[in-house]
Amino acid sequence: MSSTMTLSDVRDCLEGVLPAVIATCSAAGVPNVTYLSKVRYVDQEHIALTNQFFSKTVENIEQNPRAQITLLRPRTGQQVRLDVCFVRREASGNLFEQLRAELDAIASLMGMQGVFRLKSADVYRVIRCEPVPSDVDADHDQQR
Amino acid sequence: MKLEALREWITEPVAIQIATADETGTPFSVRGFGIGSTATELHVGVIDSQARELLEVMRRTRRIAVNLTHPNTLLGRQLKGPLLRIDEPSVEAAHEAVAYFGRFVKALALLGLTPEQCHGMFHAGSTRWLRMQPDAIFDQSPGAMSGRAL
Repeated sequence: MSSTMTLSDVRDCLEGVLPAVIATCSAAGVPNVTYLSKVRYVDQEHIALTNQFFSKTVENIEQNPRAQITLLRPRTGQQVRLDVCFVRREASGNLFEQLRAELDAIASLMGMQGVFRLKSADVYRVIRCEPVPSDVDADHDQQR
Repeated sequence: MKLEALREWITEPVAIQIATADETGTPFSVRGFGIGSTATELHVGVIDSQARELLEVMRRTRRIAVNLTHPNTLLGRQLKGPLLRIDEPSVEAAHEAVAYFGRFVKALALLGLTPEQCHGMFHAGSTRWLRMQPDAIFDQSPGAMSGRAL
């Protein structure tokens, strides 16, 4: 991973408090950007995303495995960018069941029980993990 | 394409996400701060310090997608079309970014988020408008119809 941060540094962003964003690109070069219900830590180099209805994202990933995910720190709103590459899709097993339970909880909180239905847990390798410049950094710099 | 039908997304403090992609298909995205339109053109504000890579790529490829989502209802629209222009940074764009973010934080307060939880999204400084001409609009609201062309 080529980064100034590691996935372990941003695990608080994966608590699901604030929605993450995923940008993808079709084979023809058309970008797409949408929100994610859940990003889950898998290991030091991998995350899993819930795939329920972001059909354009899935279509793009099948053509081009590269994506960029933006996470938010739940206590400050600071953004963290992950450059990622699609690895595999899991439609059963432990990871899938864990994500399904978490997605059900999110859907219940949002009143979207009939809308969120997990199709698969999509696993991505993290290539780069970088903070986005923020006023919080500026405040810390001034306090030093 | 007339943007009048998108008035609800352009005048409210919606969440703004902008994306582009380079020649190899690597995507880049950034949060937008500020939005406006004419009859056929949409403009969104970006903060230079947060958008350096995106701006560099966008200058070359002219590719742009803009997602506008109401934070309280999650109703969303995605606009795609040619990038018309990347403005020079302006005081007006920076002021509008501050004003927009104030309205956005108030909208997020309805969800129970405190200003402290939102503060880090913003980075005051050099801000500019990106101008695009949407030629395709997609439903981005959660559900089976997400991604449908409108």
